[in-house]
Amino acid sequence: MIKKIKVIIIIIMTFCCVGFSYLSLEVFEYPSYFPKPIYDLIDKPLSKQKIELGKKIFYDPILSADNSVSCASCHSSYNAFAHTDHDLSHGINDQIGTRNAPPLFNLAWQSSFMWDGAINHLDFQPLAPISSPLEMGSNIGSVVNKLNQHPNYPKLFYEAFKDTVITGEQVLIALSQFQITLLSVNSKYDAVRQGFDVFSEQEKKGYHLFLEHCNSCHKEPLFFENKYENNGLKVDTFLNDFGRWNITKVSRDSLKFKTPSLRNLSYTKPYMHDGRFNTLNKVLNHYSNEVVLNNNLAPSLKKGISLSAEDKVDLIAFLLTLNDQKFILNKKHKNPNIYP
Amino acid sequence: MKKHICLFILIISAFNLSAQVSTVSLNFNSLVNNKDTLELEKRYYFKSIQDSLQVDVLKFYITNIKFIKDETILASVHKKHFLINFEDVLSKRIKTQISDTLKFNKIRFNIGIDSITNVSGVYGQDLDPTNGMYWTWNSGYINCKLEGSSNKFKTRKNRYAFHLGGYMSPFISMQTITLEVTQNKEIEILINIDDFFSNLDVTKYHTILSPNRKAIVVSKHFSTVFYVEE
Ligand code: HEC
Ligand code: HEC
Repeated sequence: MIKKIKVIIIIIMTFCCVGFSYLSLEVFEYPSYFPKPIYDLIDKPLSKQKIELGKKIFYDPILSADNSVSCASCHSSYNAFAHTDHDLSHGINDQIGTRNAPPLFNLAWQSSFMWDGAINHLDFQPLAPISSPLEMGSNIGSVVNKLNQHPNYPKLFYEAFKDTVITGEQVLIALSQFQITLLSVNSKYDAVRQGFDVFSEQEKKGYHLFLEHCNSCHKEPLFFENKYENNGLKVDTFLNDFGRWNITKVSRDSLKFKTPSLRNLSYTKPYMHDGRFNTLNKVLNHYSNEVVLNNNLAPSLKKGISLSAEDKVDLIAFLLTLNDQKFILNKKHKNPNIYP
Repeated sequence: MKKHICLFILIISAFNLSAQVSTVSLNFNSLVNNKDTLELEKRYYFKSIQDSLQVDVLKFYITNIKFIKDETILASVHKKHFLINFEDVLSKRIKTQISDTLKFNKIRFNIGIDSITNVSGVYGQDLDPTNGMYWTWNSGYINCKLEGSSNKFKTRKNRYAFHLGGYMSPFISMQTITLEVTQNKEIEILINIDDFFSNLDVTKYHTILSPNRKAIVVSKHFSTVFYVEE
């Protein structure tokens, strides 16, 4: 009798495990040379319903005070979920924010969010744009009220969370789940790492220049680090953004910003926290000629990075191998009202 | 047959269980001038500060409650986080089960949310961000909100607002306190608002809305005005 129960339990457990890894494989498959994700997927396992629900919310302007702005207004799938052609992103009532909207992908490996790391966990990130008067001008309480009164959402939330009332926790988990599935792992660089493709001579030279000059901060294979650095940008005296210092108030953090990913650069211009450069050429000119000395400048940049004109061309050729067109075109990430 | 024995054992143990535990409730309240129960948005004359004052918001987290005998921890309350909100009568009473064989003479708890919880992502119920106890532009729980007005404060509209929080060194605002109690089914934990304001330099401390040095000073001060009514 007891034995039988044990066997049944084991069978059920195996089914659960297989079910989990099946779903993970489908929506969260990453290459073996990636490190382990930081987001705790054991504690909060991905579920199809939650991901779909998160996607619907991401594209729904119901999150903003006057139903005019959605997450996707500033994070467009065609720009690797960045905000293209705007140096500073704009929100409700066309107000201009103070920073460039970063792209969204490989977020499960990120331990802090925003250019200054103000947010310590992906789950909490949406509270910032929802509440910011410059962005969506609402608050999580009224978003939850609106969703509870909506004709469709209560049913969808019930299917995902098996709870009769929608809570703030559920809204945030759903948004995290969708955003975690935004994986960019299919660039040419990845194909080369996996042995399906080879670099051209130029790309190979660029890769070596990259390893020599850039990899200490934009570390492969993710090409970002959960660290703050000063890369010698001249201070914009209109914005006066002191970056990480805003959060910690210690002088050694002044003017340091999160080291961003270099994947998908072709889709994410303009560059830097304030979107000051609109081409990769300008970025490289900055690193080779325009680095401004200050107390917190990263030691590796104290002398600037010496790059010949040819080096720059090679380096850019390599950076372009980090574009992931499959990610940009992936219909699974797009507005469910257009691509159901 | 086996089934019956199992059932029998189950019933017996259930009986045993109910015989051994009883409910203890911790009731949080505040008395004005040591006698009137504090109501929100009501103006009182406080003898201690010789001025009138009102409290509009009083909300704080009580977490990791432990029952202690001398220096030994006997039991911990299973649910970890409680939001005490003076606007919601039910929240002011924390009910828990404790075995009758455990004889405690102290309780210990934190006022605020610990650092680990602060960096572990979103949770529901008392920790749900819709409770208004979470900062939006800079991650972290607000451990305590105390707002109101008094002519003592030379601020705009004579208002004071303390949003106390911070989980990152050097601004960790969570406080741990231990109170001596006599074992009882109802334990009355009082917050001495008189002492809070009469021992506070109101010219310096009136508006705190983010984790900083002042928030730590006031958090420590707030933790000293909890006492148990015998
Ligand atoms: C008005 C434009 C705007 C809207 C609307 C908006 N964002 Fe953003 N988002 C930004 C900007 C700008 C930043 C960078 C902010 C900073 O660094 O201070 C950002 C940062 C982020 C980040 C952190 C990325 C990183 O690498 O650190 C995430 C995640 C994110 N947004 C998700 C969302 C979600 C989810 C929503 C909808 C709830 C949303 N955003 C709505 C503009 C916007
Ligand atoms: C000392 C660390 C460090 C080194 C070395 C470094 N970077 Fe950066 N990089 C950063 C930081 C920090 C930022 C963000 C700065 C900001 O916005 O204020 C950045 C931003 C960028 C951006 C903009 C990305 C975006 O999405 O806005 C590009 C492109 C870039 N770096 C390329 C390079 C290249 C190419 C090299 C090598 C030649 C390099 N970096 C070397 C730290 C570094």
